[in-house]
Amino acid sequence: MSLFAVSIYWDLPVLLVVVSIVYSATRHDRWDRIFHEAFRWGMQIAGFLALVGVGLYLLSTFL
Amino acid sequence: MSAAETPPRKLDWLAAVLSYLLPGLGQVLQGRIAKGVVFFVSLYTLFFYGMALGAMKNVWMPPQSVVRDLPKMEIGIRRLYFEADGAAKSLAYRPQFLGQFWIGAAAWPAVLHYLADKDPNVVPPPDGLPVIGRYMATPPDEELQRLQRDGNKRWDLGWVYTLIAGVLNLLVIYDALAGPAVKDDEEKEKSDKPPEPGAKPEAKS
Repeated sequence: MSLFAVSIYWDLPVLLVVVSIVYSATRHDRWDRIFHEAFRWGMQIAGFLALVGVGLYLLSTFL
Repeated sequence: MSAAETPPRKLDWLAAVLSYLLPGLGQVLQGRIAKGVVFFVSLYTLFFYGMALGAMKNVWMPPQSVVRDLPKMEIGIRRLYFEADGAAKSLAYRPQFLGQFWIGAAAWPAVLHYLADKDPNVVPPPDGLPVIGRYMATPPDEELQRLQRDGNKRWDLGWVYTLIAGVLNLLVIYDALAGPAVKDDEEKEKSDKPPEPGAKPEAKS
């Protein structure tokens, strides 16, 4: 249940979406490419954060 | 110039300045209205969301009355350093503002507070400046400690968001100045594409 408690992690999607869209929009002018790259960056950042989160969870649980 | 090379872009300094003032305004001037609106909405959302996380008290530039009595700050490495004074000392004690500043006019109240409190002989009014009051003024130490202690890390997360919004606006300013990093002009791509085998050549008038 702690995952669903009021946590600063719920504030992360705003950062993730804005960084992905703004960075992609500064690289391209065509909307299909902007959205494609924004999605790609969003997934990569989310994946990286999830990996770090899982690593920290495992460390705090089993170490 | 070979066929593969493209001519250098013309730099649009006016659009860059406008995009500094208000994220996306330079792109709107250039006719890239939707993109300008996306920049404006995205960056102001991130900046003010970050401010809200910090109870609207995480963007400021400490004035002289605050940093005057603080220990000296030396900026540099090895023998190449100088003693920070004036605005440099203020920024050395609050380096976050170096990033937050680039969000543009939204961060100017902090600069106004700094400029209004430069004269050591003038006592700043306790209610702050006209119109903006104490918005973006340096919070008292007790309040800062309370925000950091009771904020569940949100106060710190908030200034990180505002800083990232400011730094992202540097990319937006560059986009207004020189265009997108990848020049994906649709017309050029079409002209560069080799004709498909079997396709009829276009009739010339």
